[in-house]
Amino acid sequence: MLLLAPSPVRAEPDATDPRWGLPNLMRGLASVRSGAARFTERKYLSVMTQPLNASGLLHYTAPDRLEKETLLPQPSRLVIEADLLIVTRGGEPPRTLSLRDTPEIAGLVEGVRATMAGDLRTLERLYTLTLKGDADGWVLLLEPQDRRVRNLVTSIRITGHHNALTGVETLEHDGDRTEMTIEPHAS
Amino acid sequence: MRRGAWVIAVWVAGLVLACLLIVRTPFSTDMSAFLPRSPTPAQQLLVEQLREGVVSRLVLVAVEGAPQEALAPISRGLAARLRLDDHFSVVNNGDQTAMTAEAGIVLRHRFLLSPAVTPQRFTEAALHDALLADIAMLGTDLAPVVKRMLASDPTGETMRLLQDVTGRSHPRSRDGVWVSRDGASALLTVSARAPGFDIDAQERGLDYIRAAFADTLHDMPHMQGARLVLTGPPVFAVQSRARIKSDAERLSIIATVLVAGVLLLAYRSPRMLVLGLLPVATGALAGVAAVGGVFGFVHGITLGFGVTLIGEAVDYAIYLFTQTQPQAAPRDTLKRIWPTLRLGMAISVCGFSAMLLSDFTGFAQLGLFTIVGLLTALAVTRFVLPVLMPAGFSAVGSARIAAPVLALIRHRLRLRWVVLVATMLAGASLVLHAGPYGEDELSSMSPIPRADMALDARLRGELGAPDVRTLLVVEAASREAALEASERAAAQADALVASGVITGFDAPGRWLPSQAVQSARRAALPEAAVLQENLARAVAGTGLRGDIFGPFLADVAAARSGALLQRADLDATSLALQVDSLLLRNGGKWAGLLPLSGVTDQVALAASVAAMGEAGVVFLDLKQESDNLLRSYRAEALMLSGAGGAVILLLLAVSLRTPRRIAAVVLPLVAALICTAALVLGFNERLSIFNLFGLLLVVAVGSNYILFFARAEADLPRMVASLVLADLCTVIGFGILSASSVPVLHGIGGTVAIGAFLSLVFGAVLSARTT
Repeated sequence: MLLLAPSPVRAEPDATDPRWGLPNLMRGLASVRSGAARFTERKYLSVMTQPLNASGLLHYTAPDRLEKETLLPQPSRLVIEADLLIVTRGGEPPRTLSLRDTPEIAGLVEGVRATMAGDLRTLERLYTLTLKGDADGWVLLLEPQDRRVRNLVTSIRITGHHNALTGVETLEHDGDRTEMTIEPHAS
Repeated sequence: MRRGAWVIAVWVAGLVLACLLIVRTPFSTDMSAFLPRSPTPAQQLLVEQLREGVVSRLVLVAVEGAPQEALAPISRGLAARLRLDDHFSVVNNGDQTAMTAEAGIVLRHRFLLSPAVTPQRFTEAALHDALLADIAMLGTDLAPVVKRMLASDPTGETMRLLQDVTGRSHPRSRDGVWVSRDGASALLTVSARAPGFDIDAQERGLDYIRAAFADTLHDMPHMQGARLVLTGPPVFAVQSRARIKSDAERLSIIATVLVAGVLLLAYRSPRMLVLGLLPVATGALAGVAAVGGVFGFVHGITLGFGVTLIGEAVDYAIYLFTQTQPQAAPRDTLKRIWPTLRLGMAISVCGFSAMLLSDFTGFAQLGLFTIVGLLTALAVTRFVLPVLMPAGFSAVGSARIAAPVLALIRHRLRLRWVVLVATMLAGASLVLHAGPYGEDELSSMSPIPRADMALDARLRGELGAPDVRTLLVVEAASREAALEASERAAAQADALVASGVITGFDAPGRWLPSQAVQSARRAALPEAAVLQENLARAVAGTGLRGDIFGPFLADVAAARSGALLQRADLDATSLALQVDSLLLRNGGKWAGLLPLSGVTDQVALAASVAAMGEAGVVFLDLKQESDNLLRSYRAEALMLSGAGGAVILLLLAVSLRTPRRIAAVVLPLVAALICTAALVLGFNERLSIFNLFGLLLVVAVGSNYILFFARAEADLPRMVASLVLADLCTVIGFGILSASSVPVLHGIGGTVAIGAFLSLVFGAVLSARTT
């Protein structure tokens, strides 16, 4: 079983279903064409003396569109589509960034988006993957392969249940940390 | 000396004089000759932009046919090679690593560049608000970027400015380079250093791009399928020139060979063939000399069109040679045909003379050229040719070609009804024509094929490349004054954005504010101690740590004592191009341009600009302006043709006197014009300005045929033969031009070929008299 698993992956087979692994997880995630969920987020930043909290809604549309609608503490909307990242806040004109130009952001959002898309090729290209658990409760650890990205983002830890993500925890190189919990939402 | 020798001596002297004048005449291809004599600032600017504006230099490049993962390496390789070359000032393939120079300038001079910098910006309250906004951004996924800038730029000037560098419309990007929406091609923009009107330089630049592309592929195996697609004004200019040149050369060679063949068959004498060209050649030389003498320069278009317009002078020799009977002296022929020739020439001169009065220098030059050319050609036919013609010459081969027209003349009473009905149908189709008669868009005159224009529009859309259409324009005596004026206009444009009339605009001061504005911004920066105290109070209670803002305090202190940003600081960056394209030297003055975007209602916009009342701000719609220019060409051409027609009628009335004789000449000509216009409209759906020129030529050429028919002629077959021969040459020459896909050649060629043929047929049927 270990020999059949893709190379950078150290899949730890589960006792209940020895055949379950990264390819199954990815196939399951890829079968989700769109979805919506609630999120709550807590950021621990070194420039702040206290954590920042936020909550709102996530919308995902296969293959590459992710929309994060923050409702609290202040409404804002973030859309990631293909290479573009568009942020709209209040009455301000939208800000558009290219992911390619902002590796510190790309390193964080690409992993989440590719996981939601079940895009194993992209994940393996950008990260070293470690999968633990089983279909009922899995943890996927993403560590950037590119050294420049590693100098910005240390790891992304994604937890999930079957085809749904339940949490994302990102750790940046400077020690800043973000914890996001996700719960399914009937939209 | 004999009279003949005198004639030749005068002729040769005239030729020498003309050549001397021509040698000293400058030739110009400057479009401004086709501006009205007193152009509006808008028209002047339009022509400037077409000649050398930033858009005129922009080449859009696409790389297609390569595997998607190969596009980025090819794009980078090509861009790197192009950046090394002197032909291009800016090469952009979307690679942000190539934008570090711009980012550095923006970062270093952010306090001078940012419009948000005012004394109020650095008070405790304003800093507090700015920090709260930063914290809000820290809460979003932009946190990593905000974090990076927070310590040195808590007021967010850099972020706001950099947003403007990359521009509002992003092409799609893949692996860090621009790609088309379908991801199948890589996109680049390349700005040539040479102005658009320098077509030779543009051609060298394009060749260099192709060579650089081939080199790039050479280093990458298995890329043979990759193709380079180039578009944009420089490409069009180079292609159009090549197409017009090759079409004109190819078609005129074919036409010349055919016409010469026909004339050789008719004359059976190469010498006569050459003699036949003397009137038109002398006329052209005299025309150029006269235009050079009067205007001080000759426009290329005058030369090209002018020779076409005096094409009827070729017919003069044909009439003389073909109507000369065996054993008769040419002088006797001339005695017979002279009144007709003279009247025919006078009709053409009247038709063209109205052009002399034109407000457009180009038209006026054409008028003068044609009049002098035709007068000279006729004089050469009258005085020089008889001297040079061999005694006893007769065009033996021409006898048979008259037969079809002689048959028309025999059956003319019955055929009259056919002509009448055809003309009425044609007239009805003209009157009932649905839709506009004329082309209102300048693009209709462009020699660029539709497919190429579609490609250009597609790439332009993908790239969000400037398609500058509406502008505010200010003028001032110096660069600095123009900058200040455009800053005042920008304040007005801000109001237009606020009221929703436009969505945005660009201004020269964006990357180079006037020294006055920069000084004011510099003066707005507070002293170190004051700033430190304001900041400390502002941070309190925000949750931010207070000890991280050292870089900000240092940068403000440095900016307070630093130098102002100068144009030279922008050299070798795309910011320089952006400034230079919006701040132009215009003669002795400077013009500042503010391109507007997102304009929905041109009329409302023009009204609100007028209402703003800022002195010296001109609203300019380039497309409308160029279409207006075209409309005024056409209106002027129509007016001039109308005036010419009236003068021709007057001339016929004076010289033919009786209504019957006048009608015999005017009716077939008008019928031929109506039928020609209907046919051209039927084929093309529109009448272009070139078709109008063609109709003018039909009047000039066709009137000669009809005048000959209307004369009582003893030797009818010989006279008819000369007309058929002349008509054959005209129809062949212009008919072949109509095969060109270049609108000007196609438009004139087709119209004249049809019109000349119909004039001959209608003249035979309606005017011929047999004795």
